[in-house]
Amino acid sequence: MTPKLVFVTGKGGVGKTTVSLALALKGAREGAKVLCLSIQAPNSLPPYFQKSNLSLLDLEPKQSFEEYVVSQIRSRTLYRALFEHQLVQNFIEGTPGLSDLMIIGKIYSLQDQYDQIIVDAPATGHSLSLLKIAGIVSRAVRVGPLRSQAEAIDRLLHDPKKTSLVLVTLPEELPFQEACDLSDELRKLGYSIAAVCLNQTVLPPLDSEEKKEWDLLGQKEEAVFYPLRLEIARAERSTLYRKELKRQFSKIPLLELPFSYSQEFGLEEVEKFSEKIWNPSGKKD
Amino acid sequence: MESVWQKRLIICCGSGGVGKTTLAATLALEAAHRGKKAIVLTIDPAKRLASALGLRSFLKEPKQVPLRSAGTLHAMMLDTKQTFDHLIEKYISSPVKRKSILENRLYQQMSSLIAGSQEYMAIEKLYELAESSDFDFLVLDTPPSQHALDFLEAPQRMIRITSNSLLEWFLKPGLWTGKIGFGFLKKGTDRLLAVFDQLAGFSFLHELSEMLGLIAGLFGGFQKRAQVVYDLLRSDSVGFLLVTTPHREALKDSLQFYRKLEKLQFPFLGFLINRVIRSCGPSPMLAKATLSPGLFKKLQEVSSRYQLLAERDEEAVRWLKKEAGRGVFYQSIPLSSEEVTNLDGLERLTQLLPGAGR
Repeated sequence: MTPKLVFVTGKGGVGKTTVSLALALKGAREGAKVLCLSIQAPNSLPPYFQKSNLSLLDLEPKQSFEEYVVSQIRSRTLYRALFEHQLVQNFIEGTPGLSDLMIIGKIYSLQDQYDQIIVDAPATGHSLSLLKIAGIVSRAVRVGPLRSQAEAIDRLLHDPKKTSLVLVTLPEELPFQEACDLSDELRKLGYSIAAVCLNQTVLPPLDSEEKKEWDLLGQKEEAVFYPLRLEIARAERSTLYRKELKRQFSKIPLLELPFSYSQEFGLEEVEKFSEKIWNPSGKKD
Repeated sequence: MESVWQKRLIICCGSGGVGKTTLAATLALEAAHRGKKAIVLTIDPAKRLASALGLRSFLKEPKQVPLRSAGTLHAMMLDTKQTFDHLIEKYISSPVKRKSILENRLYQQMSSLIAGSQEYMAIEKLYELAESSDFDFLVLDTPPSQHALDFLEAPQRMIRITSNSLLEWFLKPGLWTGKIGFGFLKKGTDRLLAVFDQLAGFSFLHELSEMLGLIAGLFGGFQKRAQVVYDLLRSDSVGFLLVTTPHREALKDSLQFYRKLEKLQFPFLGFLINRVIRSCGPSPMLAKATLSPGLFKKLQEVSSRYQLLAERDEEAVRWLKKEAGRGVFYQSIPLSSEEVTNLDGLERLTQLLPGAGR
């Protein structure tokens, strides 16, 4: 069973967008009506992924704010008159947590229109504040629709049947550490983690005979061996961090995406990934 | 990239996950080898790299890294967990005022959300160390952020909101007197308040205004210091570097940041393009005689795949050069097979810098 709302997060540069798209494609292929949503930068989701039952959306805090206020006061004219003034804009921009609240509120409001929403979430720290904001607001605001809406959002995010996270990491020390720290924090806060995804793994290029020969080889530092040296080291790190992740996350499925050697990273590539993504058993362990 | 060594203060910027911390430490180490009294101010390094630099915990004082070198190397980890509480303790001298902020209900709920506290701490520390004569080469590893611009923008954004007169108006809506240019507010006052009241209750708005007003006091002093630091950052002794990888998202981010730096007239030196796959120079054929047929075949296969990756990286660097233009340097740092997790690793990296052949 896949939760309705999936946040994909991890350290900067680990491939969150790729994993998000792969998850979205997988859902769409299985017939679900899926929305893949980015809150990182405009146009970070390539438009050619758009399909009949897969929509892409870049969320923008300011626009979400407008939509929210208009939905509440039921007048765009009034909104324009009151809120589109530089002073008010400064206030909106500077009020702590407001833009996160607008984003999470927008996501909440979209849930009825889709079977599944995949959120290409920001890097670790920012993702945490995004998840926490509704709870904070529900404690900070005492009355009014803002409070009840914040409470409803917070309930949704804490419901493991409806909301879950996918942590993306690489076979490298820093992203691995960050994934571990993040998962501790998420558990403490009561969020559920659906899977950990190890991206850019490499299979050992040499069989055992060749590896023996390689280990005995004297001039490995020479430039001619540079590619093989890199590949072997990457494969060793893949093995190491796969093991570490299995140890750290013994109760959570570990998914793997192989490193892509292709020049252009396009639809075909992600399609392939999305086929593999929930079938880690089919891969060499 | 010789220009780097002429400077006193190097600011390493870049988006998350590009190896910024490691390269900042490498630059400081290389400076020490060049006889300087160097220090690297870093944020949350990988555990093994931190312990290699002797940084087991957050220290108030810089820690010397034992080296056999012409110069010296110190390292210091900035505590990114520092929150606004510390700033308030430090800069609000009136105990009554301090108490009223710390006890403000909204502040207690929301202080962790106030953007930019890490950036403030980094800037504060930098200011302090730049004033001291203990060091003549400082490298600052800026806080990681999805949008690297936050480092420069967060302080100003906060200043803008806390110092604008809308706040005063919110604080004393009854006393509000019409000023030229704010006519719309006068007309809209009641309606705007009604909207807020409808959404969250007027008391919330009032509490929010009160909290922001209290924090504004803090930023009055900060604004002055920030200005001093910003002036310092524009001086001749300073150089900005952008660390990136040859991958699309990181490059796009870097270019955007570069344009921002230019616009704000910060002295930009160049790009460090990290983890570039070197074009495989010699043909695998050269090794044919020394290898078994099986291993040779693997070498050929892997080499041809990496040749494609190297071409992709080369193309990415060309694109960056074309976009960012002349007048800045572009230094590629080749991808190493080993992760840099200790001082030896940093030493290996210094060997990859130009002119490092000591």
